[in-house]
Amino acid sequence: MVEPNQITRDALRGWNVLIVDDMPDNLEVAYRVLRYYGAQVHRANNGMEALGMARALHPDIIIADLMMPVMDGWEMMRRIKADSSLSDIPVIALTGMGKSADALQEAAEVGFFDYLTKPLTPATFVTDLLRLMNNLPHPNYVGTEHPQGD
Amino acid sequence: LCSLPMKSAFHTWWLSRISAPANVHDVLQRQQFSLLLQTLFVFAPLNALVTLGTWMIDPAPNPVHYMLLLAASVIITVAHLIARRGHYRPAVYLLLGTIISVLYKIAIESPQTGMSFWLAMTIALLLAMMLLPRRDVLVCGGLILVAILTQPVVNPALPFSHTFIPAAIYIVFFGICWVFLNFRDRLDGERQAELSAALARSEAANTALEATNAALARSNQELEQAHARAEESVQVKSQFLATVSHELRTPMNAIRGFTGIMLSGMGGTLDEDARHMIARIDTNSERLLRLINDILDLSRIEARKLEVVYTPLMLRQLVNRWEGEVGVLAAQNSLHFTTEVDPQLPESIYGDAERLSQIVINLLSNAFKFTPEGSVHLCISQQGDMYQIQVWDTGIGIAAEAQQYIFEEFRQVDGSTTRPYRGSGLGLAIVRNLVRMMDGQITLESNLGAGSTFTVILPLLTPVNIEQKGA
Repeated sequence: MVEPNQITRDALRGWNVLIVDDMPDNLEVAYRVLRYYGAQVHRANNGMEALGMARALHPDIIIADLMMPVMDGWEMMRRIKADSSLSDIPVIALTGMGKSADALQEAAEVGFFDYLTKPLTPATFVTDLLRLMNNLPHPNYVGTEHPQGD
Repeated sequence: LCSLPMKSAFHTWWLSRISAPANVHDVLQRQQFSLLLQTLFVFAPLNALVTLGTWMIDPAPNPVHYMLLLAASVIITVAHLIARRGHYRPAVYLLLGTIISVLYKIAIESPQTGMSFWLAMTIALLLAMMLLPRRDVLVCGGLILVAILTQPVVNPALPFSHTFIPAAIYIVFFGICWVFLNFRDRLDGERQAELSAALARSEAANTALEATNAALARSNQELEQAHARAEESVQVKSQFLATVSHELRTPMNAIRGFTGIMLSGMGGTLDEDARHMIARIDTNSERLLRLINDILDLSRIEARKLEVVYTPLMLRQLVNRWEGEVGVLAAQNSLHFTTEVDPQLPESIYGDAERLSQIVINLLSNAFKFTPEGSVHLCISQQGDMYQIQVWDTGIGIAAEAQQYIFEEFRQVDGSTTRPYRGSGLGLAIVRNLVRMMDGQITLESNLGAGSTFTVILPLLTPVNIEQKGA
């Protein structure tokens, strides 16, 4: 298992991340962790805001809560998939409702790239994210299918 | 005569005659009637013998008597046949006609010789008539009496003794028959009354039964409604628990997040004292989170929202993972912790790794929690088409009376033990529910002070037998 102290401070350098959550505290935690590892982080409070920011900033990855006011994560995901300029952005779902087969299935059907469960502790969050990123094309290594994480 | 002691025997016989079902009753009646006619058959030759005897003594024989006897026998036979077809009344009236004609014939020609014959026939006829309704008996009896008494009209030479003696015998006999008839009708009436009373009772019982049935149906419906309500309330309760748990997890997210950031140094350096306090916030929040997760799991299981997802898994890798997770606990409590995997078990089996881990980690945490010193052992072995996960410890053990509720929610052995042994009391309830969901069984063997052994038996699903099942 990758321990947080084994992860270098620049593990996320060069990543442009959009995080979406209606709880400011949760947003703050994710923001601080991602920033700590060198990512450039943008924050949105709901799906609607996130869509606007995604169009303007075109982030490398979006990490979104599912249950949000104004526009929830499911709807946001559907709209992202429907928008050809955004549909290539991997979106990772964040949920407080544990992992269940139904939710996983539904998340995959709607188009989420993967799934992280709350609560996020910095250690698990960053290791999980790095694990997922091993499957993502790194912006610094465009064209490489499976780049090494760090 | 009506209240005679023979009543009981006769009563039984007669009642058995009546209580028989309609068609059986008919058959019985027909048999009785034909018995009487057969008696007549016996009387007819007897009568012929008497007649013959009289004729032997009488030097002036009359061949008409032979003809008469023959005709009477033929008529009796015909009546017999008619009666056998169930037509009692015509049979009786036919016999009556015969007797009256014979009576007149005798009155005209030879009053002495035919006496015994017609008397026997009349008596037999009377007995036969008993099977007819009272009105017919009266008509037949009256006609015979009239026939006897009017004989002098046909033959004025007939002595009075030839008319009145048979008439007197006849009247006495008829009287006896009449009493018997009354007795019969009274018994029938009683039986009828009894039957109708029984019928009324059974109808009343039927009505009562129907009412009970209706009440039962109503209460059944109420029960179903109550059941539906209970189901609904379980759903509502589970929904409530899930919502509450979710709401609890949201602030936990922030707490765990910020303490994590501070402890990992992402938020700047902390002095030792502050670090120590934050570490305590961290441990406590983790425990709180585990409790919330347990409640959430249990509510999902109760609301039947939790599913078991079978995927191929490597059992040995999983055991290594479990060792890693609980090894810290073992080290903290300086316990000897060993694991053992049956080499016969297939490398890869089908199972829900997450739920399986939940079961084993819960059982192991439980073992560590209740074992102050000694060892904890995890053993996985194959048992035919099942596999067995066994966790045994040298801990404090569980008293026999506590073993029955140990798997219930929020139960620890007793109030006094909840203090030293922390825990939600949900772990074993979750384990039991998960094992059930996987079509398995969990058993417990324990003696107070001598450790406990939890045994989980689950169906062994391997890629091979999954294929076999599919094929």
